[in-house]
Amino acid sequence: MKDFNKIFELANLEVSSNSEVEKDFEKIVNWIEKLKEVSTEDIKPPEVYSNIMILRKDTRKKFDEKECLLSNIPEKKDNFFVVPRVVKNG
Amino acid sequence: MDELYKKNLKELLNLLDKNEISPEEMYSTFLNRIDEKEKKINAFITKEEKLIYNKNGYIKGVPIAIKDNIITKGIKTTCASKFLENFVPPYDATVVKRLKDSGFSIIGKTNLDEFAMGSSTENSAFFTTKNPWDLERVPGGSSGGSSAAVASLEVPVALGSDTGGSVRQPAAFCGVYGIKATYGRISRFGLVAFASSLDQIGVFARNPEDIAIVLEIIAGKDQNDATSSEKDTEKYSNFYEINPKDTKIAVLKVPERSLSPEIKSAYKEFISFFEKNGFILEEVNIELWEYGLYVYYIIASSEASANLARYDGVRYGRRAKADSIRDLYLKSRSEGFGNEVKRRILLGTFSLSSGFYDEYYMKAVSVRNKIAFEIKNIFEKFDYLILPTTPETAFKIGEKAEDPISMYYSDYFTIPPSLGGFPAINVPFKIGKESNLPIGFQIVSNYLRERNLLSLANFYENEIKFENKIIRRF
Repeated sequence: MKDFNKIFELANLEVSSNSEVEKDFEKIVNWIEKLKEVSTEDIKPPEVYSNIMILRKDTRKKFDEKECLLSNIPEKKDNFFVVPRVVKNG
Repeated sequence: MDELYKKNLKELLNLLDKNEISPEEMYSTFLNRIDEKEKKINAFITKEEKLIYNKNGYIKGVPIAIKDNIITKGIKTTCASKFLENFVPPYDATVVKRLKDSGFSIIGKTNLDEFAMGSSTENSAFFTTKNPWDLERVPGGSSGGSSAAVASLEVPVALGSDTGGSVRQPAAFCGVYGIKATYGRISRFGLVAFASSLDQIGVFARNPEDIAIVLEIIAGKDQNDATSSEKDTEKYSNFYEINPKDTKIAVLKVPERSLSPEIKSAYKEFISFFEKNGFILEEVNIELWEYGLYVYYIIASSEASANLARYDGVRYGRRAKADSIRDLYLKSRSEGFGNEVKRRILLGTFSLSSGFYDEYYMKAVSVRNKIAFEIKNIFEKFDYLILPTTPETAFKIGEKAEDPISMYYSDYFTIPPSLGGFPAINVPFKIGKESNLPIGFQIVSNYLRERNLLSLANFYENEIKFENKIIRRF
């Protein structure tokens, strides 16, 4: 049996939040098992994916919308994100 | 002018060129139309009341609707998720920038399944869009808001996104044209990422010519998307002349049980349309077609689990109350995501997890490549491949909502072309006699042959004249 709790943990999702999701998830994992019927040898990648991922020069660009960017932060102080304390008290 | 909203993009451009209508008059006509239709359809999440357009562009303010997972500077972009309910992007997606530069006005943002995961818009965190042909039914998805808006004459054209069929399936359900171009043809910079090796922006319209006009504007290399192709774009609206006698079409052999009786008989009629017009037809089989679904759900979910890791509640989007950073992540995500999004994140996390990676993810990648090669081989011999778009016509709201796997089968015919990166278009064919709903079919072509694809679709529309059916109905 697969350890589904572990998967929730890796995915940063709460197990208790929804048992329906858990039930469906198990069903879906069983459903995709069918793929094992196909033998897979001598595989080449599809042509469309060759010659892509051409990287550009990593150069600095000016970004004018700082205010809008900052306005999306749920909790901030000055120009910093505020999060619960990460480091433990001394 | 009376009933200006019935005009398609090309007709509107003509009227604007001759100064028979003004951009302002046009825009307010569409706003009124949207107000009237939205009472029942619910295609839009956000509407832009003010006409803003580039007066130097040749499109002269014609409105376009944008799926709400494509970011628009200063206009809320929600992905139909509670997580991004109040998110306002600080810049435009490349496609949006190109549309604006050419003179399009953004009239609104359309509904979708949360983060484009679904086939009906029922996974939207806000509301379900209704199918204009039957308000008890879904418009398809995930780009259901865009397809419904184009079908109900709320806008002449709209953008969607297609990962495994999210443009073509809703186009079929709503009786409009919808294209997914070659992987890499259109920049995804600013398309909120779902499955990066599959996601492609697509276009909806009521005829192939309008699609071609929009594609001309948005296609082409973008420095901000490393996967965008450097190959030249074409004047897509400059259609090739179609000579049926020189055109070879592969007809996909389809298992009988995979189609509803109505679509089964429509498929025969669709094939005979090409026969009667003198095209060279031959039936082909793609052996691994049925495995496309499993491959897709493993690969798309794996990529989604990585792409959606960014939603942690720290920098933007929903933030839950929490005492520790770990709880902040857990609670923000658990409260912010809907069930389908969670299912896919879990499936992806599972497929990529240590101990299962080879068995699931790598296996899926291998089978994906095999399917891609099978399709590619067809284009060694044929110019086009034709096949159904959906196994059945639009289903009832709620009919499949409780059973995610039955919903997944909705993409049975659209997934394999996506796995290979091939361009494909839904062409509406007829209104089913039993269902009274639109039935559509797909035409697929080889890589970067969008001009050929649209030329054949245009030849087809000139005969079928489905646009007239939409205008008469709505």
